[in-house]
Amino acid sequence: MSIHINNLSFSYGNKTVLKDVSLMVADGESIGIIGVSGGGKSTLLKLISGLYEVTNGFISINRHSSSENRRKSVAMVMQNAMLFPASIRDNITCGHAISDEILSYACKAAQLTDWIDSLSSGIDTFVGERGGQVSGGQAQRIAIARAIAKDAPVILLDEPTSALDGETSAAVMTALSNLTKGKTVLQVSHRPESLAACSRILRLEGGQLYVT
Amino acid sequence: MLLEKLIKKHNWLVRCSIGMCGITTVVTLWWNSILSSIITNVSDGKQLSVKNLLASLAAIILTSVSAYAKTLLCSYTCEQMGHSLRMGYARYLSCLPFSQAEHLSRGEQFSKLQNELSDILNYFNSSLFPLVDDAIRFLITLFWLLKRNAWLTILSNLPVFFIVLYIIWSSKVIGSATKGSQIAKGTMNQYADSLISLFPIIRLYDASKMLLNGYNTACKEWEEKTSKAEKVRARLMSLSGLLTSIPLMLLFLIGGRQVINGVITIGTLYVFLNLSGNVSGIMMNMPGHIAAFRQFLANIQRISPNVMLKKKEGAYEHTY
Amino acid sequence: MLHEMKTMIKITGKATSFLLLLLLRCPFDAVRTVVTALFLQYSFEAIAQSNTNQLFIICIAYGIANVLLFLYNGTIWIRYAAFVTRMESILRIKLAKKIASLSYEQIEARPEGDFATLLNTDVQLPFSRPLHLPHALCAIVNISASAVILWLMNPKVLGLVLLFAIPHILFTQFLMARPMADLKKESLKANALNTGELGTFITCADTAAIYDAQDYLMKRFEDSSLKLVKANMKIQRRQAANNAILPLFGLGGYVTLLIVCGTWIANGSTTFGELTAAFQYRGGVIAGSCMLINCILSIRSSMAGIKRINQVLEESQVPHQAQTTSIPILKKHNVHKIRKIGG
Repeated sequence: MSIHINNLSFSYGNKTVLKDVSLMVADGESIGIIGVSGGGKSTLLKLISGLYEVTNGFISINRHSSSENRRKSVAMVMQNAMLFPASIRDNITCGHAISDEILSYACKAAQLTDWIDSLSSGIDTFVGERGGQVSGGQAQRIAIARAIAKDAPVILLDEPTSALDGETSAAVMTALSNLTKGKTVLQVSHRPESLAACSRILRLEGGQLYVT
Repeated sequence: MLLEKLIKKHNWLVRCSIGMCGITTVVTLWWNSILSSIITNVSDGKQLSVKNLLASLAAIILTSVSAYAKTLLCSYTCEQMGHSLRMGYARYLSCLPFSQAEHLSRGEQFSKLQNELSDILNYFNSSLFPLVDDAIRFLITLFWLLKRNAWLTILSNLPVFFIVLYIIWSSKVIGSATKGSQIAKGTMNQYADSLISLFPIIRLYDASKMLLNGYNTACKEWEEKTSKAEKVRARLMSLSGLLTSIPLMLLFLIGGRQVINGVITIGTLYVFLNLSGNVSGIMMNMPGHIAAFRQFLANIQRISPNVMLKKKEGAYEHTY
Repeated sequence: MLHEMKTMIKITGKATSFLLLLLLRCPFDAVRTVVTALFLQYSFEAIAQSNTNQLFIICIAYGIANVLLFLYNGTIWIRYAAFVTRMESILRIKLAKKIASLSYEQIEARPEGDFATLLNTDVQLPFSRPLHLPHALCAIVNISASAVILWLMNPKVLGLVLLFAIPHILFTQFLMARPMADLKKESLKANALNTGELGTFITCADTAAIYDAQDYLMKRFEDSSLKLVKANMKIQRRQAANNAILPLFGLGGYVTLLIVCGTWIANGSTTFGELTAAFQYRGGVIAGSCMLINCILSIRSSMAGIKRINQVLEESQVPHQAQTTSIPILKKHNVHKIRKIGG
């Protein structure tokens, strides 16, 4: 599924974060966007995903421009995974009727199976308030499993490994590569090394996109 | 208005609860009329008749049953209204665009909204129907007493009007006296919070003496202001306690003369004494009730834009 | 319970004055009960004798007695309030000083917010707010005085009053108040859960939007809200039963007393005025008992806070690292030296 961004501008009050941003992402392409913290990378992802309404410019995913349709087409993994105070199962399914096969596949692809098997309540284990009973890496992998289970054609990644240590990061990276296989991917980061797998890397500076 | 919408939504429950409050008051008045004839007989040295005994037994049982039904019905109505309000608030949050939800989570707005919501829910559970019940009890009892002896009712309750004015005035004075003490307490608590939250820094830079000096000064100020406020409170409330004995004295002075002159029976006077709480007591509590209700209305008005009582189409909700 | 309170009063160093003020405060309720009972008795007797003048004098005497009573109470109240505020102030200062002298390890050993609760909330429990202790003593004196007077009037009347009052109090306490504490805990838990669910709408707003989970969150919230309704209704059912029991015992006892005393009035062994006074003393016993029970429950729940304060105040000081390695206070000559080195 392709992403088409044209003359996109966005500001928080008087502070302009994005200025006339235009971008074409082809179906199955993996794009990396690099930029400093607070440079507008996350805002761009929130606009693409339909979390923010586009007020100036245009965004479409597979020719659908409404924010609701865009939301349906994307899955997103953020820096700090926000978990519902519910079971692992509910955190992956988000309350939707998802078959056990898909659930099991999502857990496997997200490198969760071994950990879940070690839990006495298995996939029905409560993750705690704000995911307080699971580690950062586990929370991130649950968020990846959730994205895999959604099977969205577009994957948006917002520094998904930056808050993790090296060892945990490796498991999450494997989970991410399973998630992004054959999908259109847009990943943002302030570290160039985490965008090594991307086919194209762009730089977001002063609210505008540049080719590196 | 939101309260109106909530009442409309639970129209039948609200009506039944109000009806039950009325029934309970009527039962109480029935018991009092039986008591009146029993007291008249007893004071005349007559034995209690079987009819009186059976009637009082029936009245006691009915009072008990109606009290049970009233409490249960009123609290169920309040709980249902509270549930609707919570759902309406949750519905509003679930429909909120992400940009606004994100903004809400950053500031103190969300916790402020939550506090207002919990204040409203607390008021629903503890004060709304007691207020309605008081109003119904007051009106029905006043009407009943006026019908029995208008002169005695008016004269014995007339000073209550002035007592109510005094209570309003004194609560304002007490309120402003307490304000100073509360401000001083706030300052003192700020020092206490700093002492805990900045403990490592205080220890590292040996700043405990400075902080404790500040705390002690604030504490002294709080002590001074609290003592002053308590002095005001003690004076005004003692006077208010004294004033509340005036209706009782008037009841005896006027009602006693009427009994002596054969205008009313001793049983009627006794019932007037018994029911004075339903009229003068409620009137004296009114300023507090009104102040709490005003606060409740202000809270509900503030929260109104954040409550969606009607459900979204196609949304999952059991009770809606 | 008493030991904790004793330790607390000792800490403030004003035990004798505190006890004296408590003793001065406690007869108020009992005297008021007696004054009102005598007023009712003599007024009804004057009415029965058709003596208007006597009725007038009794009303005036009642007014004067009330003025004196409230004057006394107001004076003692002012002194008591000023005294307990002073005690609380002393306690606050001692507690703050103690906390400041604890080692960082001792501070970190307790959960976050514990010390703040201690300094801002717990410290109010022992003396000034709410006035459990003086109220409890007032209630004890009121119950004792009312019961003794009833016994002196007629031991049978006291027996009748107790016959209805004791089962009522026991019923209220064992079948209502005790399970009520657990039910309230359950309700608080359900409320916390519900509030948490509400917070999820905000904290997980992005995830809910992308994964279309709003309905799922609504369902969870609705379930938690209904659980709260259920938990609260359990309390309300108990409350309703309590309200239903009140007329059964209260009015039942009242009617029984009327029947028995009615026979005595018919015999001429007592007057209607004395009966109304007996009703007033009965009220003293029942209201006093209810008040005492409530005070004991409140004192018991406050005890946890008082215990925490005592624990901190009695905590032995562990020599902390900061004391040995703390940086010296910069005195004037030190500052000069530093400047010299730097410059």
